[in-house]
Amino acid sequence: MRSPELVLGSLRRSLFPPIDWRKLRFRGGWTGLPIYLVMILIYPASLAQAGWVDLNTQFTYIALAGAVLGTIAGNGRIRARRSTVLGALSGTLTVVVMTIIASDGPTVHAKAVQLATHVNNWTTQIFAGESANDPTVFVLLLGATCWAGAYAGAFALAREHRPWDAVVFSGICLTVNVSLALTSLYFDLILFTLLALVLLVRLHIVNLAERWERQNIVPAGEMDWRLLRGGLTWTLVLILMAFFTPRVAAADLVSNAFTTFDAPYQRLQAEWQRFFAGVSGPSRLQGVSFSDAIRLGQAPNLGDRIVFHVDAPAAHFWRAVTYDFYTGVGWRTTETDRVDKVTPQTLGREPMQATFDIIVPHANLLFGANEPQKVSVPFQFQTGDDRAYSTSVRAVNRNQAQGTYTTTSLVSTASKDELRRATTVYPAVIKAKYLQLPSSIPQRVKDLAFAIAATKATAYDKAEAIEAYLRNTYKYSTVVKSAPPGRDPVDYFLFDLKADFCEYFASSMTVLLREVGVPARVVEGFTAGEVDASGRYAVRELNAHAWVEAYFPQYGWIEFEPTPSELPFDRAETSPTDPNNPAGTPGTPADKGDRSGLLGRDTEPDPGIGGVNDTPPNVGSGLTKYVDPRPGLALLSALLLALLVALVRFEYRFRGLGTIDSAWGKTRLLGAYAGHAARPSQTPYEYAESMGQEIPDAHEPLRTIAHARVQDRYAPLGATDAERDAAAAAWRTIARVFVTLLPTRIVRAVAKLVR
Amino acid sequence: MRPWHFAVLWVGLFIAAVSSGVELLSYLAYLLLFVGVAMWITARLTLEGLSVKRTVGQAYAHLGDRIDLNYELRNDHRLGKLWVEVSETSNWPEPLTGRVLSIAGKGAVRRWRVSVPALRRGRFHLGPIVLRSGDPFGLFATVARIPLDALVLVYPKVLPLPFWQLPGSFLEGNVLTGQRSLQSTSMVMGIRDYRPGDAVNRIHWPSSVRHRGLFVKEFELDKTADLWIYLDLERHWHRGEGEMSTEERAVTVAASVVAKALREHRNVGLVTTGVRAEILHPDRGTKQFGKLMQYLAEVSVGGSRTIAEVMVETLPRLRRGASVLLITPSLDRAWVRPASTFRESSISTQAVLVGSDDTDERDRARRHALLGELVVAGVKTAHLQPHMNIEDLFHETMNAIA
Repeated sequence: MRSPELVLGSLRRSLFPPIDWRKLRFRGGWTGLPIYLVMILIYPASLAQAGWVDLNTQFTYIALAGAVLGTIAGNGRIRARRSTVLGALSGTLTVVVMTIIASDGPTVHAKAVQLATHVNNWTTQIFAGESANDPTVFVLLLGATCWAGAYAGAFALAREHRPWDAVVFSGICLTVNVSLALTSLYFDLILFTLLALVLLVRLHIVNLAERWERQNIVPAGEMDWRLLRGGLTWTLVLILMAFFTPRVAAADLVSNAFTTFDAPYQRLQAEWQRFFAGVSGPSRLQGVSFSDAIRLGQAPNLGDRIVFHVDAPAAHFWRAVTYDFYTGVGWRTTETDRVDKVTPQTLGREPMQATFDIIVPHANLLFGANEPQKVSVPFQFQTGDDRAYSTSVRAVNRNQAQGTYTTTSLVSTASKDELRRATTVYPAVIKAKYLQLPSSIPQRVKDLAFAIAATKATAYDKAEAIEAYLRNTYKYSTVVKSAPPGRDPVDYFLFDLKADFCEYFASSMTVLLREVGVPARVVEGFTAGEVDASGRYAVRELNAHAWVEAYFPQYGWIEFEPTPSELPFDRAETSPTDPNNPAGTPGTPADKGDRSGLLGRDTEPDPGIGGVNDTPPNVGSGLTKYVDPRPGLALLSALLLALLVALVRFEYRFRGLGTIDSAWGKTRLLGAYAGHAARPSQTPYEYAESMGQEIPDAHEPLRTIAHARVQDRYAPLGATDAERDAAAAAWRTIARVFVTLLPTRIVRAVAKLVR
Repeated sequence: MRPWHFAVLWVGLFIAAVSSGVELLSYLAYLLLFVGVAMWITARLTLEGLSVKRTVGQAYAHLGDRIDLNYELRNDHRLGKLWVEVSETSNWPEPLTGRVLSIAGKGAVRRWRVSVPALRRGRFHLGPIVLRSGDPFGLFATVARIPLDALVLVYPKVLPLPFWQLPGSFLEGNVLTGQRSLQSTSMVMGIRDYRPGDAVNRIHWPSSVRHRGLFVKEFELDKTADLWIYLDLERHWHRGEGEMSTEERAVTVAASVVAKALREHRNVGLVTTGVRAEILHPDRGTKQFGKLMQYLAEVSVGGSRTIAEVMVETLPRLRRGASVLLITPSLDRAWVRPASTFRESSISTQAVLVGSDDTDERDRARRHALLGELVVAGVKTAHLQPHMNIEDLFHETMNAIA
């Protein structure tokens, strides 16, 4: 029978085993530990700065916990596979617990229930095929990346002694975050690389010190510090070099090759956006940006600076991107195939050219009026399965979207009557994409749509009615408000806000049109701008705008303007060619606003650019034209410079010597470079003979030069002038022969170095 | 991370940067490229222009002595070296102490000395010298092997043996004197050319005058008794490892006896058993000392030829009046009879029985029986007990027997 003290002691030890402090030992020692900790905390900090989610305070603690457990597991004896399971389980637990603690709520229980509810809602939406607008799962996912990066890195470092792995895991997470966030996080990345390189140096020193101890190698005094100092110097130099080196321009060849992966990538991206539609996405606070997704209720900070100048025959809205998928909190583009050609509808359309002088580029986006048909720089359309329209036009290279280019568009001249007569039998692709609405749309929105448009006979009338309703009922405001969590923003705007900015108007009209069966999409770009002194339209950031396009079979996408701050689109009642208008007179424009002149202008295409049915410039044939030759030229220049320096240095070594001494010295040196170094014991004649046998072409000149050398040195009267001349001529022959041998020698030397 | 991992990472990053034109990726691609290229060049250059020399203080040492190795590292490259690791490849029992140091460029020289203890007897090859360096990030390592070979012999330990006396010789017509004979007699054998160092009183002036050059007399050597040492290396009876093993103690006894006997100008020969009977004929002087020590430095236990067999085989080689010292751990009574035969052949015989820790009752009984038989055979025997100082050998022979 064991005594109670023994039982209690055993129980206490099993419940609270003694801490083995050795398992907490960090491989980099006390110098490396703070560096590592700061390094792994940069990623959570960058997540907070990117502002993906509001709930981000827990990421730091998750990363710290991951690092601690990874170190313990790495220093312990658990097998690598089991450690993965352990890391996954403990990571899940840590992430959930930390997220619960960090979230708002009266009690931990209430927070946990709230988290479970959010996850359940998200799962339900995903399995229903809808966009999930709850960001909670994304918060958990980010927490998991923090954990995984820290845990895997710390484990690899402690167990496998692989410092690069410790850096790479966190580095990949940080790189993805920095590259996706529009907020500049360069400082985070530079700080991370600085710390990572210093940590690598420190860990390398630790590895070396261990080996030295193992192999009984005694380091000289302060060797640690010397190595660290050397590594730190290198680190700073390399980071500065990388930072100040001109950036790589996107190469057409690789870029085009990369487009092979575009379709699967876009599908993946679309799914990703469906899963995490509730995430804020890239910050839109810095000027104007046209991304693949927008979230309603985020105020853009628009300045007065000019974005571009347009030279066009008439004012028009300049389209950048369109959005087809309503996520319940915003919009995104799912039609992202890249093609060289689309075949737009030509019925009721006329070509128009607009020349853009870009001041502030927007990635590789190209602007143009609806419906763009071609651009004067290499470009691609972004489109969906129906190749009759595009969702945006993009330059092949970013630098091609800068500067000046001309966009030719087929602008609609269709009259209201023509549009009223358009069929309502829509292609399946259009119906699938542009009638989409989430199930979370409140019933009263549907009711409102039917109340406005149910009595209208045609699709055009419905669109006009909804446009008029929005323009007349709601007010435009520059004070942007976001919908409360869980509220549909369109519903919130229509029934609560009743005054906001253009994105709400465009979204509302699109949703209402879809409710009554008219395919529609939200468009973002710029309004026409103001005519400046040069007669061009000056478009400013303030002109950024959102409007609506509705689809009419055979006529394509027709623009509507539901925002009361802008004039509605000018459209004639009847067409001059309309059989119902035998007089052939143009109809009366509904409005004479800025865009009033567009339909009446003669928009003959420029013969120099080509007709409307011309194929777009062949991107493939332009590859060589657009390959950036600068890196190659820079390399060539560097090589030439190096060669010049080598020649000058070679000649400089023999300055002040006589003809024969110089020729002999150069022969020996060049011979050594070519792999035939003179042995100290060899006389000039022996050297000339031995090398001459190996290089027969140089045999005779070598003899000549050796003879001149011997005469010059040892003959009582020295070498004669004839021998000097012969030595000089022989050196020139030898130089030619040896230079031909050098490439082989260099290749061998490089191969040897590589080996 | 191996260099090819690094290369794959960079290629992926560069392709992503070139295809997307994203500045961030360009920065990372440049950084990785610069790190890779700069470190590769650094690693390649880091051993350029370096030369190293090593001199060994002495060519041989006795077990337990220290050997000094003097190194000199010179850098003729214009760039200094951040860290250079200098180590020695050798079959020395322990890794020889290496050194990590920084060195400036343009002919800078660093010198240091390493003093290493001789922990095991044998023939040891030093070199090549390994120079190792690399880049500060641990990406690339550079190694160069400098073929600087040297040979160091570690002789067995030589102890004084104050209580051991050379066996007396049986000169014909004499009794056992116990005193050493003179090295040379007064009988002149002949003359030879004078060599520097010859004593002046040895010059034979008549011959020198006759031949117009200095000639010295050569004397007939005395019939000094030879000392044969029989060292038993048969593996069956040897026990233990390291300094306290029977092998090491037996070799130490043999080396100590060789040293003392040669110091006293005796002819010393050596016979070993084991794999085969190795016979080194008796001679005297420092040359013989070096010869026997070199041999003893490298001997090791092995084989199955017993000491008894070897004694029987070598008996015809022994002259009357010679002395024999048997060093063996063998408790086999088979070698008592040949020892007795030696004695009967006017060969003074002694024995050292090397004991080991690893013995049981049966061994103890055997040892007592063996020692008794040796006493009966008239062979003076010393029992070297496991933890007994070798210097005390033959101190109390009878007590040991008891």
